[in-house]
Amino acid sequence: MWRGNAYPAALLMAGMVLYGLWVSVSMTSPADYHELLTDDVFLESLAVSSYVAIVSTIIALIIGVILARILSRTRLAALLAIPLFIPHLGAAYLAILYLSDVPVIGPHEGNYFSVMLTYLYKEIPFVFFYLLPVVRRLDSRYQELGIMLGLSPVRRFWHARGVFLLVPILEAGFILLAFISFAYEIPALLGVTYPKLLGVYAFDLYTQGDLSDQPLAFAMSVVLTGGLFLLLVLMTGLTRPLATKISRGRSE
Amino acid sequence: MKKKVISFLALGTLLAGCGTPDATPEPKNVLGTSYQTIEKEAEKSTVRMYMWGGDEGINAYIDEYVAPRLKKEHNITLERVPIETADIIQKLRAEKQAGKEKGVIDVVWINGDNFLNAKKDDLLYGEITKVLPNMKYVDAAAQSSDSGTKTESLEAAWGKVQYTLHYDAADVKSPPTDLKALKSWVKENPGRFTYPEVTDFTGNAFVRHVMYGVESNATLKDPKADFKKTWAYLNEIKPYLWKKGKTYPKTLAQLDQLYANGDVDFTMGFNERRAEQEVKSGTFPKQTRPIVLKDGSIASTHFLSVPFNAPNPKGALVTINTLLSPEAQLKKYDATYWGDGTSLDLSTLESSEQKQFADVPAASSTPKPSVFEGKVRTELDPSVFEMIRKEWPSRVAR
Repeated sequence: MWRGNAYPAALLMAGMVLYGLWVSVSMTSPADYHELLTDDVFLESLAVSSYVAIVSTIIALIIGVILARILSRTRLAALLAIPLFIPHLGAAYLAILYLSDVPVIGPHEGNYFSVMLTYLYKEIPFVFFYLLPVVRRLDSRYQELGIMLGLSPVRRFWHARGVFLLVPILEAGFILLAFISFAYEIPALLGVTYPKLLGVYAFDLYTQGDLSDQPLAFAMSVVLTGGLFLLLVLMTGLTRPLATKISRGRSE
Repeated sequence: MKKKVISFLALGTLLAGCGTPDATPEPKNVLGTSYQTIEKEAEKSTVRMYMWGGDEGINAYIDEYVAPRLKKEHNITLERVPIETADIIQKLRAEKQAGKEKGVIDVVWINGDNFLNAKKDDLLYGEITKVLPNMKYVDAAAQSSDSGTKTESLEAAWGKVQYTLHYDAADVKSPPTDLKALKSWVKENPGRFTYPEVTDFTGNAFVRHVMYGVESNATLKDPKADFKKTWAYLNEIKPYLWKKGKTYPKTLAQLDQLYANGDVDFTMGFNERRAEQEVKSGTFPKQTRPIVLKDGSIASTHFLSVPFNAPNPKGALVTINTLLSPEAQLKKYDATYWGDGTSLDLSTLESSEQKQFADVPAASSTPKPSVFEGKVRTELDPSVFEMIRKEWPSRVAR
């Protein structure tokens, strides 16, 4: 485990986010937020983006965890590294190339299946490699202890594996959710004209025409950053007691 | 504590890198000097021209004709940088805000909204056309306004084109000649027609052509009016469009791609000659033919300008002047490379030069000049562009 000084990196990241947030807030007025939150085009975009982000994240987590369990001690793990080297833009072009003639799941369908499939292709390996170190360190003796104590299979799984996996899974899930709900390349190439995903809609608002809609794009980034921050606080707040217990060596 | 101090220092060093100004900028008085001096001092310099790069013919014109000529005549090295014009404006705005007085862009290809934004935010160099000798050839009407915005010498008219639809005559036996007939054709041939979404320059213009066809003159003059008939027309054809109107090509390049693949039977765009090169290279179907709708064709002028922080304004001015010369305009008009309408007033040229323009052959995909008689429309108010972008998503695409 790396034990270097994390302050410079943390400061830099926090500085960038806070500066960006400050610029966005200073470019907007309360009226912009009102306009944004009553704008049907935005609300529909928010709904469909949430749908795409949540579905992609959950499926990526489930498959990623299962693969990590099955493949953690095999050489096949290296194969999963391949999609990591393909940029999201490249993955979107692959989807255009191979999915264009497939009905229902092809690009430019209102159900956004091709977008979600492309995210899965990219994010399952991410989840896999994020969880691999944790899965490899799972101690099978907890499992044996559970059997000895006569726990039910569900409780055995929870105490031997679940508690150790929960926090990293939530972390990976949060990263994916935050990324997918606002990313640009994949929905820009594979999405439909209406409703657009948030990243594409924000970019349009920011660059279009006489630039009079720019405040709305800034308001959107403030609203989303705020929402994701709340989620993060909620998540760490709920899992902290558990994390503390684990580090003390108890899970009850 | 020590750790915290070090990290603050590290952050400070990083941020300091962002604000350091570059070398001293060129003095602003370049426009006060004579063209002869500018021409001489521009020798051996490098000019970076930032321009939309989505058309192979246009790129070839710059790389294979203009760049060698500038090298030969002025020893100027021309570098073409392909980039969306809106991104150039964003970049210049950011540089203006950051106080960056020496940028990287010398020449920009610009018009419409982008010019309006650049003018509003003071992103252009100044009254450049006043020092360019070749401005004497440029058509005064085309030069005076850019999509309804006064140019005020900030940019020089480079080309003038007409909006034209193109179709594949192998598939379309009786082509529609006005919007009403187009609507019937679309309904009878579902999935074979579409237009780019209105964030695209060409898609937005298609909607403006519908406006010219279905709205009254009073409505057209009032950007605040409710363009009910336009939205009704677009909604009426929507279920019969490509992909049942659930999605639209995001850009003209995507529509051209669909047309080239035979997925749709029509494409469209500013520049009546734009299909010639594509047909010749085998990209577009052989039997590509033009339609100029009876409801009108909007004329559009595109321009060249110099950003406020151009590192080589002298080289930029020499480049623009060269691009406005009758020879360069003739080469541009010829469909070998580009086939772009000239911005020059041909009556100011010598008769031998006029004849050269008249002798440029037109392919069967290009409408005869007489077809435009009585159909040329001026551009609508710039606020209409914005209104379309705002309204179309909820009133049509939704």
